[in-house]
Amino acid sequence: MKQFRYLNSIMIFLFLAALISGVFVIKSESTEPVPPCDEYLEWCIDWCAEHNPDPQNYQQCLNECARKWLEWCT
Amino acid sequence: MIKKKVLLLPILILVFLAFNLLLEAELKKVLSIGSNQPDYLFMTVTGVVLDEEGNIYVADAGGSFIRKYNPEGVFIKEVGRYGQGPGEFSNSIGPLLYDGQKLYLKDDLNYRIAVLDKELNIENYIKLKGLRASLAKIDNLFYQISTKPGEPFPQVEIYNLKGDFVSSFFDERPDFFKGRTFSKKDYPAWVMFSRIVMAADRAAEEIAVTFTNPGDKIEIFFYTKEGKFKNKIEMDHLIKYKFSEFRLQFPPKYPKKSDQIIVWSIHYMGSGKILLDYWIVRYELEKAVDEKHYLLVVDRKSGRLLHQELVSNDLKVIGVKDGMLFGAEIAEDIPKVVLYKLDY
Repeated sequence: MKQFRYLNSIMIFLFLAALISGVFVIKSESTEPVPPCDEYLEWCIDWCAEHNPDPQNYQQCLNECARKWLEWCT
Repeated sequence: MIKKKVLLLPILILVFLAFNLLLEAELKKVLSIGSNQPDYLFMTVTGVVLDEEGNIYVADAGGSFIRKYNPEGVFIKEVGRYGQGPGEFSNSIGPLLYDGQKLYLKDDLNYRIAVLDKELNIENYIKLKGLRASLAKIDNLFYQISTKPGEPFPQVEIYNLKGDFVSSFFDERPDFFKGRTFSKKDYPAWVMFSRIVMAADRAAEEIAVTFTNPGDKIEIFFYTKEGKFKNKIEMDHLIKYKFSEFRLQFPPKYPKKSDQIIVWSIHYMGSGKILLDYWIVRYELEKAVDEKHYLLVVDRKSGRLLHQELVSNDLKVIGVKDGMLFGAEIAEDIPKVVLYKLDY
């Protein structure tokens, strides 16, 4: 049974690796594609107009575009 | 006494007739498509066009598809699914155009325009070199909106049918920007509030451009199809209005009360008339407490307001052609494609 002496350690390592990568997947942003920074803001503003026919939602959507652009691109 | 009654009767008849005429002028819904059935279920409708036979083509960004319905609204065909390959669309598609022969669908995140025949066969793709807003077409030229390099202000770019850049035009900005110095930290707000919308008139070979967030007046600029300035018309708002300058900083610090006017879209109606999709929103702090949605019919030459109509806040105006308005609305939680007859 000498060949299995490291099995427990390997299993624990694999478990921890799966747990850590799982946390990263959950924490990461949506996988929906978005354009690069030099095009993001203009695209997002246009996207808001197409997807939010109501002005209140439109304005909230715009503010979210600006917030994300400032966070990701500056 | 009898004389008075005799006089009163025609007045009452006239009032009744006038009231009926006013009702006649309202929008009349002629068709509504949408249900929980798979071929009639929509997510985010971003394009609706009609062909000469009255067939209806619908682009849906949420579903990444185009569908064709007959003039009675019966499903005929669907093409597209989410993806980057042939026959696939991103989830950021629209507008959809029809030029009398082909359909053109802008697919933002695949950086291309899909060209389809009326049977929804994809004939080819026009590759786009960058992301641009909106899409219009006159003859062999496409029009798209982009931001000027290094500036927050928009311009209209002209492309040929191969997707090659030809030229650009539009050098205007809303009056509330005049005398202000642009600071980079306010870039998002300046981009938002200098946004423009446009419409193309194939018959007149003309492009109309207006600001989404107008200043003291609504200004509409007209250009030839080559991008040469023709003229500008101005009209007053429906309320006493001044753009709230607190919006130009980001994040904005809302006062107790403020108003906002949005021109959501502009359309050529034919017969020298322009239709504006116009909203008046009253805010208490950052919450919209009252939203009024109007369709304004404006005389192309003088800018005179010919008709105003209060319409449902659920109506998203997508296009106008041959006395018909087509759009999308949510009714009883079900998204629908709707066609209205414009009687003015």
